[in-house]
Amino acid sequence: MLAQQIVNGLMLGAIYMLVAVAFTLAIGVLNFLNFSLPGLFMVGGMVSFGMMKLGWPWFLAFAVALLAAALISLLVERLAYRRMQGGDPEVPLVSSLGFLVLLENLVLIQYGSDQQAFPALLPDMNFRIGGLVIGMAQVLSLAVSLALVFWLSRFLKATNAGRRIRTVAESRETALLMGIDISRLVPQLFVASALLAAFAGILFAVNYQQVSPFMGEGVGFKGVAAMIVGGMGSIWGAVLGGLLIGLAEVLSISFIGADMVNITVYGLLLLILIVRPQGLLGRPASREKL
Amino acid sequence: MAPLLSVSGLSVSYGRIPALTDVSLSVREGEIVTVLGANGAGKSTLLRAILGAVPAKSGGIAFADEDVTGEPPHKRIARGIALVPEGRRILISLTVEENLLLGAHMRRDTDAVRRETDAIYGRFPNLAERRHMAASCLSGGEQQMLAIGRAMLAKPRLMMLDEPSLGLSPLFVSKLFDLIRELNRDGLAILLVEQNTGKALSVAHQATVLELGRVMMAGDPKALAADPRLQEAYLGEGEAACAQH
Repeated sequence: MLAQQIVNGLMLGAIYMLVAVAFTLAIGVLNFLNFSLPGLFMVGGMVSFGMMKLGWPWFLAFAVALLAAALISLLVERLAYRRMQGGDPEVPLVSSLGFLVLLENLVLIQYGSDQQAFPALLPDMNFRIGGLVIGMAQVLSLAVSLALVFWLSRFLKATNAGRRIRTVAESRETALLMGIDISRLVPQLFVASALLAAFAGILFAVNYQQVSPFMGEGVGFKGVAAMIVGGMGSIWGAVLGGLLIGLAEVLSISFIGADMVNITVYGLLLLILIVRPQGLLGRPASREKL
Repeated sequence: MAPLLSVSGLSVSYGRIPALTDVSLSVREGEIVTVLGANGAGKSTLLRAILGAVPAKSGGIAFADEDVTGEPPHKRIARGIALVPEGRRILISLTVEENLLLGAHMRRDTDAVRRETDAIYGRFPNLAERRHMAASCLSGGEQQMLAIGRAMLAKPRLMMLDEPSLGLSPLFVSKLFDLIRELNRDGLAILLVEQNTGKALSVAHQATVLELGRVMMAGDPKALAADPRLQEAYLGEGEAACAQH
């Protein structure tokens, strides 16, 4: 029973982890808390749903959903971020929040506000190890999410593009003097974090077989919380925070009760932040990022 | 033959405050040119304008017979202009090696980059030993070597150095000037901004003195070294600065 809940918790955590990494990429490099990301998470799930409803095969539906999220993120960059650069840092935060509400309501007009059933793609493919039941979709999602984060971390560490991103994260002025084309890099980062969020939304839809226009909100909150608890701007912090929140959520549902879940999860987060305000892997004194 | 770099009638301003007014200067292939002047004379602004990090209000910049005046820094760096910035600007969240490789971030000839990186490590064994350590572990002198190595990896034809001797011990200052001479002997044109007037004039083939954003004197370094106006340009400002303390 406990082992089963841990598996379920890690699965949910993997989704929070991807959303947290998307947030941490945006805040670590651009210093921008991009609140349109939960909307792009929802776009990942809902556009996949919509395309499959039209009879498209799942892989094309996913591709369309990812493409839609990428294009929307470019709009967010243009309209909510680039134009607000001169002002206070809170301005793009609010304008990106505006995008979240806009996206939710556009999808609501098309599909209604009810929860919709997402078709089961990997039906009845369960592994049984001892008393443990592990779904195929669960294993695949967890493996793909972890592989994606490993790859991203490697990419940032070992490639020219990765070093460019980390340079911009530390100092835009130095990046300019080193010949880094920031005006090209920023939209690329928006697309990268949008793809992570939308991919997480697709994984959520596949695993929990339900989508709704508001599916991004709860996950988005927990993604931000995971990022902060892990340490802002740290990819491995986001991984740790995401998995921890997923575990805490599933375990408290099964052992304490569903009514208590948000109290235990956010109580735990509050406790961690009181003990370690910089987050689990955050480093307040240095400017180390990513 | 046209000079490698030619700046003609360049004016730059920050908002409504003029930083450079009608500055002309040129650097030929194989030459070391030094730009001298007191704090606030516009030396750093001149280098930043040549790199494209601040826009020219009027005037032009040509590099290797091409007008580059409107180009952003990444295009100019690709053409062969590299800057070793004031204060070195080493990235503390990157390792020594990552800082070095940042200089080559636009290059695709990875084998050549690898060879040149090894050559730089050969030249600066201190950097080789600390290649996987955080760059913040380096001393000021080592950071300066790292900043120069980083600029070398961009494979420049013109290297601009902005007050490289600032904050270094006398021993490192002589090492630094030896290195500048060596790089120049290997064929690199150098534009050197310095506070250390004596050292800079001793390595340079040409010198320009800026005062309040304008060219005050220009010409042969030996003649300038003997010119009493150069002493005045510095002493005047120096005394004013000391009086404020």
